[in-house]
Amino acid sequence: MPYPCFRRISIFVSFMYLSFLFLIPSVYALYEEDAGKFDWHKSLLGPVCHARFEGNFLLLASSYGAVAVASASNSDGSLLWRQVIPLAAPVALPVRDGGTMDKDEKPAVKVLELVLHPQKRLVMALTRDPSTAALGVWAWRLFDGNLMWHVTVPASGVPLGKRVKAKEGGFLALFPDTVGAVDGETGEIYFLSAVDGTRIWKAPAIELMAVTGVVPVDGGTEKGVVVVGEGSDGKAQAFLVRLGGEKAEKIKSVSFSDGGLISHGTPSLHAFARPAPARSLALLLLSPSSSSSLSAADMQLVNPSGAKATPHGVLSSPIPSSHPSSLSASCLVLSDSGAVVEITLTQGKFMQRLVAPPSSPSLPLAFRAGPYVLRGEENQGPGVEVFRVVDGQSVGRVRGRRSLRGLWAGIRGGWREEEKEGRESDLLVLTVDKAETLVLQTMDDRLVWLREECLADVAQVLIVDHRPPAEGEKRSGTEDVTEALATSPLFEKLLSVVLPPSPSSSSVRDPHFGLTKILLFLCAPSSRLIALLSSHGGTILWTRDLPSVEGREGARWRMVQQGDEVLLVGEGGEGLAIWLDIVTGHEIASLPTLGLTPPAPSSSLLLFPIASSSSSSSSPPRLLLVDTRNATGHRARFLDGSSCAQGALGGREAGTEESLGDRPIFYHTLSTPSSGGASLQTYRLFKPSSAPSSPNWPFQSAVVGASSLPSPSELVVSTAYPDVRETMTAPSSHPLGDGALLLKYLNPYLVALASTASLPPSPPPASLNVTRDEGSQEGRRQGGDEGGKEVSTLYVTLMDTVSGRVLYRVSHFHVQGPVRMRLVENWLIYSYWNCKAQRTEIGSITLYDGFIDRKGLGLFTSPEFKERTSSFDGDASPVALQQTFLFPHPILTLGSTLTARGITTKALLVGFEPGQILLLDRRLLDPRRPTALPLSKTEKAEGLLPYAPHLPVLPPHVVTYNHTLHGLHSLYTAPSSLESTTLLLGVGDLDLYFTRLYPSHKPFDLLPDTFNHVLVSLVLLISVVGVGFLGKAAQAKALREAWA
Amino acid sequence: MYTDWNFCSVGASSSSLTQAVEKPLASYHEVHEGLASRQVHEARTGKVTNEEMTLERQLKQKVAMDIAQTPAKALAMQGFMMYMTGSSVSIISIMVVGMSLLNSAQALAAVNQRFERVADGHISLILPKLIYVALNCVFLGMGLYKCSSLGLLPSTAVDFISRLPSTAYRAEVSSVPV
Repeated sequence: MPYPCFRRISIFVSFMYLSFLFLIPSVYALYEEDAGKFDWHKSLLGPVCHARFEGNFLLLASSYGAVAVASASNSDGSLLWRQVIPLAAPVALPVRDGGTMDKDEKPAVKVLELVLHPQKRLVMALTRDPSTAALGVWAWRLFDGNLMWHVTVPASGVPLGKRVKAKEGGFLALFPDTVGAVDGETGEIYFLSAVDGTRIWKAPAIELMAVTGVVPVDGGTEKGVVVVGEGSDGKAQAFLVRLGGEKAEKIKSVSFSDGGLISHGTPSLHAFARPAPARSLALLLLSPSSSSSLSAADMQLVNPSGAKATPHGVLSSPIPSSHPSSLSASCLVLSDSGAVVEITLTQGKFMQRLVAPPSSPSLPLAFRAGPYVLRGEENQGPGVEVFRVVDGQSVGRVRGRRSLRGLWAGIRGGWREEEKEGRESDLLVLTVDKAETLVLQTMDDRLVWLREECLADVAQVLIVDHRPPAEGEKRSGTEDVTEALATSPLFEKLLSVVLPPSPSSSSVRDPHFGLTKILLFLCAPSSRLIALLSSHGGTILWTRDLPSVEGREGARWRMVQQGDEVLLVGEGGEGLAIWLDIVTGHEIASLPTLGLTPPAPSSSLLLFPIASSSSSSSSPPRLLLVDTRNATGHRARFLDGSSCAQGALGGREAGTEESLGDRPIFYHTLSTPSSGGASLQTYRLFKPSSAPSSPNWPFQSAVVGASSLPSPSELVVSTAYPDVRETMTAPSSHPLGDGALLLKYLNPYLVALASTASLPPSPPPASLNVTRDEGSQEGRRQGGDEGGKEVSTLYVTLMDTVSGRVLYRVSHFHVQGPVRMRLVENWLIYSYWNCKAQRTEIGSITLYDGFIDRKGLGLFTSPEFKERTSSFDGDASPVALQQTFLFPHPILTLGSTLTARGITTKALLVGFEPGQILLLDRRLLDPRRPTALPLSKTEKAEGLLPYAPHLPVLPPHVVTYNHTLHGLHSLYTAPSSLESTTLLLGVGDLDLYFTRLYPSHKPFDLLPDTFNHVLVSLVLLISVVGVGFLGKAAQAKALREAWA
Repeated sequence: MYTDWNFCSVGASSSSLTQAVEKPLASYHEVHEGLASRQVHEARTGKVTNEEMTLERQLKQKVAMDIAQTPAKALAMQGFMMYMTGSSVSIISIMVVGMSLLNSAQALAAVNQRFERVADGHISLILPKLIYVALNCVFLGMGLYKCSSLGLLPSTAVDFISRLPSTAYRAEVSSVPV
């Protein structure tokens, strides 16, 4: 009876098919086509110093030399374009650990003035280059940012003493087809063509110590500028410089009797004027006096006179008035008391009117936009009060977020003279706070966009896994983004089976593959912590201002991940520790004081994340704090987690012997003085037998080992540490082509030092294992031929941070910095500039611990080698293989890929000029690349490539595509749950870039983009229907035959 | 089908039958048919002479040796196929190697069944079976060698990396400063 049996089978198969169909919605898959769609790029500006509204456009300039145009209509605050003005000459900069430069000492082009040329629609900037002291005029097209022309005026031979006293500034005077550029330091005036920037005329020198104001005068056929400044006699002087004139005409010289100009420093003199008909001109000079009074002088060409205006204190920020009247000038001034006063000078008479009443305490911050005056204040929290100039009435208040640093405003669509009674809702208020957050708001307190410009000053970055909240778990204060990730309708999942995935649906799947990370940025100057979501284009998840209380000003903050929390340690005063929830940013616990020895300089506290003991390997790492300023030697304590802060005295185990674990704990100090030389000292932690002086610091340490560089003249230019997690998960051996094994020297406790010295190369000490590559030997021979001339030498030293031993040391001659280093597993990569060959070189060193023959390890055979699990084991140093390669571009930084299980082939990430990132296969940098050709069979089987000194830069391997990261200085990588995928974050001075990488160039665990979703679904459906139909048919046939 | 009349017409003269059987290079089928006919005859008549028994054992011995040498005939062809498949892992090479190994394993597992026809308990099949097993082992060895040349056999140190001690453990605990 086969038919009943077939029927049962068909029912079973149908049930199975239906079960699979039911399970499909819960099966997540990532498609290869998602690659490349989730990279994002954030263009930053840095601290904004100039802003100007021009209709719907917003012109911005920052103190990092960036000029940008944003739209007042965009909701995301993205820039329409951004141009970074480069320095004319390279400046040698100190290099921070890891190869990054110290931003505080980094010079940038200073933007003196930013204007829009209304006729030519050009964004013009007047700049000064600190490297050459030259003045520059730049003109970009408003709509696309194309540079139309650029003129550099070299620094003149003005004596330095004169320049020191002068104001560092400059002015632009715009005419329909001409631009006047005035050097505020020298008083030199250049007239340039607004079309192509060609120099039309250079004005004769003006006898001024400093220029403090420039007024363009356009008389139709005759053009010129009125230059007001500080004369050598200490008097305020005004000159009229006519275009094409033989000399500057002195208009007036005024002496201020009360106070003085120079005694109050610069800027002390301000000039505002309006051109009047019939070649008349009214000037209003204001100067602060010694007392709280305001001095002014009329410098009309027709009827000059002097007067005095009071009483609102020292002038802080003069605001030009736009009242058109003949032979009159007016301005708005903001006093210390916060009052805004309009001062008008007409026919030699002063008039003053109170526009905004005093506000105490006030901010010295005000701005005028058309018929409105905006004044920053903090009476009811940070905010901006808006007054109408005509009647002095308050028309509203815009709420601020933090204490304001800058304030600008404009009217959407532009303000025209006939629209004096403009609608308040069209008023846009742009504020920047002390944390460099740029906020654009409307008068009805609606946020247009927000930009976190403090991301341009990143001190530390952490990439942590994003843990999606469980269903129903409500986290107060969490952004909507997190909630959207957790809740997704079922039909969307069903739909994603049939339809190609959309970016939004793919982002729903991301957390299941570990592709969504939380990027924590610790911004140093502003003491601000910002969490970005790696998906959704880098959406800001939360921000948090770190406390800056009395006595902790200038605190240096550092952060460490502890499970789902981030621990922030502030060094200042007696120290402070805060635990925050990574997802929400909420404070979980805090330790108000760490008991540091005051006064604690920034380098007195050492932090070491210590992995948990073997008994509880899943617990988060502890943080070892070492106070090096203690008079009786180093003292240490642990911070286990937020629970320890909530308990008394730092936790349940703190201070006990058990907290040290079953393995000895070591730490080290690395001294790299700027005068040269470096020393490494290693310490072992122990609990003293006697009671410690401070119960908070129960542990002490003893010196275990010490090493120092052989020559005291060696200056450490770069250091590199390996990633401990990476070293622990790395394969322990490297297979060769014939089945043999090379055992890697995997020591997570290494440090690589790059030091330079300008001395003749001397033989290394016998205790050090020194090898030199061929290029270095050639350089030494050539150096010897130069008759003992000093050559700059680079030394690369590998040291053990537990035992303090020097493991390897190599030297290169004719080398200049900057040196970039990266230590990955048993692989050290470093780049430098070979000043003799004029090229960028990359050194590659791999360390091996031994060799196992192809038959040396089998089912019944074991190799005879000593297992090194301790830094004190093994009397022999590792075997090092070294090779040098050439790279065609200057290298900015180095990184490496990181995958979850370390199976995927490693790749090197090279950040090179002008801010691109290259994915370079590790095989290209293998020191074992054979130089002898043809390759042997085993070399071919291993996949070794013949040695070629030049490393290729293939465009498909440039992961930044067409993005350029200005000032690229750091690369951070994080693994995802997919072995084929690495997440990369590139951090530059003014750019952030995040993307996914496939180090093996093949997303082997992703579905291909040619995966036919429709066909698979149809086949599944037809199979289910077919099986059901055949089951029915078989049943009917069996019935018929039974009746036959 | 063997009939009585057909055999009886020959059985009238036993000497002619003996001569016919004693031809040394009789074909297998001829011998088999003769033996079968004779066995039928002997079963009916109940008379089997010693010479006939000896002859029968010799014949069975020859047949057993023929069976034992059967793998040798395919050895060259199999080797040629393995050589032609190359040293890269592909569907063809996997099929050839797989068939080689499978056939050898099946033959080795069914040695007794293969010699069942000639196993009457009176002749010794040890030598044919040994030859048969040896030849199949050669077959198997060829397959394994091919596997090894394809890199499918764990024969080198690379295949036993898991026996190396883990490097994750360190006797000391330290870290990188933050």
